[in-house]
Amino acid sequence: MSSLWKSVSGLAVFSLTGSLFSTSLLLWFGYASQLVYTIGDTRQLGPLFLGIIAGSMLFSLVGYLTRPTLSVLILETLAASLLLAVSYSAMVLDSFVLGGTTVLAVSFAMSSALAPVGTLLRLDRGPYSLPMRAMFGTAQGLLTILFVFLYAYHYEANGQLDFYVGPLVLLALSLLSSMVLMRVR
Amino acid sequence: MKTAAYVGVLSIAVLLLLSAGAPAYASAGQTRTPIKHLINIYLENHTFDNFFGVYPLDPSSPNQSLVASLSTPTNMLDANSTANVPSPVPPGTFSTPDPVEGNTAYHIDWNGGKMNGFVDGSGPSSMTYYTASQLGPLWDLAEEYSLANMYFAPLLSESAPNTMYYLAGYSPIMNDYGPPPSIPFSQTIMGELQSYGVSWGFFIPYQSQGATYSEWSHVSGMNDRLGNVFSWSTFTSDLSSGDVPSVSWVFSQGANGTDQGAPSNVLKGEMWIIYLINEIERSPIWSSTAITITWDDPGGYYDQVPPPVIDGVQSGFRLPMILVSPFAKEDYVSNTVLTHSSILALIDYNWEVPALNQYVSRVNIPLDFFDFSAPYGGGGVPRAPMTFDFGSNFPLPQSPYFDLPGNLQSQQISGAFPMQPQYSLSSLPYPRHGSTNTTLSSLGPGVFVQADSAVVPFYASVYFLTLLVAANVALLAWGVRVRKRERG
Repeated sequence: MSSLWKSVSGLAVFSLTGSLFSTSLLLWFGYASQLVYTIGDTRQLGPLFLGIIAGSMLFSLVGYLTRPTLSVLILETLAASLLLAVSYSAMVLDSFVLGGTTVLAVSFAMSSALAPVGTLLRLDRGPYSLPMRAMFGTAQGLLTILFVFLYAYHYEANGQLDFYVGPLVLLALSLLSSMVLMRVR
Repeated sequence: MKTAAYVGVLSIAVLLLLSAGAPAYASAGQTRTPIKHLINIYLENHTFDNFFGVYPLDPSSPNQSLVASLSTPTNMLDANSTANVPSPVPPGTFSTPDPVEGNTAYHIDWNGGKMNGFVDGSGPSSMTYYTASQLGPLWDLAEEYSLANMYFAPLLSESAPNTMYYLAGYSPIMNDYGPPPSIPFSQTIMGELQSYGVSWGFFIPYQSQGATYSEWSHVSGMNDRLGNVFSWSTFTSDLSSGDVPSVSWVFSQGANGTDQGAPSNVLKGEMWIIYLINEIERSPIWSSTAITITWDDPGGYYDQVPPPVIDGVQSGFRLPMILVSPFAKEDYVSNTVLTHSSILALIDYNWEVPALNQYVSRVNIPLDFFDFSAPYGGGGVPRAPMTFDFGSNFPLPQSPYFDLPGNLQSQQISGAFPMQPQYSLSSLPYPRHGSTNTTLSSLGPGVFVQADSAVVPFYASVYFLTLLVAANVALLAWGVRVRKRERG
């Protein structure tokens, strides 16, 4: 298998599938925790997207640069769950009135779901070089940010109606993508 | 003779059956007061202090003795003599930039009840207030009838959740978003009125807006009740004929600035209100009507009074509420703690039906605004209709649909206030300040909706999305297992 083909197929297999699942996880948490409903002030948008951009890039790289073993996956999942639980607690403690710093921290923490996604996708897959894994991780992070931005724009432009459509459609696409991934050996 | 006896027995049996099957509370047509029509006019986004913070002070008025004799609500400038004093909107200006709105901004404004975060929360344009230069005619309504001094938004948030409290005494949302979730029609005041056979109607700019109208977008099942939705022009023609629902809501929203929400020109909504009041006063139903005029949420504007907790719910900032009726006390300022759901309590009280829900049963009913018994100087109850006419200084529209005149800056609107009182203030048979703590629960009529609920379709629920997440994880994990098995 040529290096170019391996890169392209890896981007499709890992980065695209991973970003669809990651975005749906981000939106799912935003919906389930009611974070999205606490954003009613344009001054919250900067911290919100800054947290998502920084968190998506960092945690996506973590998911692709660590060893893809079951124990690492469990560790990353537990860490992400803990961060989500702490974020939700912070929101409850603030009575869902979130200042800029809290919004930044919560959106950064919820991006931690990207790490176990990358590791899960790579479990029992062939070895990839470090630069290639860094490329997959970067691409997953960038695509996740892009999808989040696109959906946020759509949601805002359409009167903040039916937020559930975003995570629903992305989860459906992610499921389809995972089925395709099953066929790729 | 025998036949007559059979008919008599049969009639008695039917009557007994009917009375056994009737609701526990009296239904259509029967009211506890002389009010047979309640009309609720709903506008947008102003606090009490933004509209009435210096009422009735008008230094430019030539009739200072009358101004001095009028009842005065809590004055904004007295309470803010040191810092953070809002500025008056200059004469000739009828709008301000839109302050920042929303749950978060209002909580920053509130600052735990210190009421000193408005510049940080809603921004500098929150620190403004209107005077008689813009609101003279509206102030006249307050002077001639009754003004609430302690009417609070139900929630420290913006339009949609507060409007839910206006229609259902409950909100499943905390900010302007959705649906979903929504409230079942049966749990709204319209659902209750319908079930008790009390007629109701919504009046909006154009009937065609009904299916997508924002004010009831969170009411599930409203699209099956569009037969109760009519246009403003239908309302005015209904007034002429005297055929108006028992309870009406006239919404200002969706008509290019009539709702007064910033940055709209407040004069348009003011002219619209005065037009409607004149139409109602000259209609055949005037002698049995009460009108509430209120605004949906604070809009980010400053108010000085820390909002109270009402039945365990932190309420929002004060809103203006004027009550117009032939039974409304003249020049009356009420200190009763009220909220949007107090209007629902008034409906339930008047039509003798149970409180819509627990919250509605525990809010005060605005009963102190009325005097149903004591005759005025001329010996008459109810009060005779008035006509609000301010000549060329405030040209009144000829229909609810109109454009603002082009020469607004030159209008001397301040001259419209104060109006000569309908009855001499010294002859009024009641105090011009007062309050009440009468609630439906204190009267014991029961509760219509035992438990409020929110409607979220399963496909839109967090449970369904969580299932999909779990399915995706399971699928990917299964893939790992399959690959391992294939490899041997």
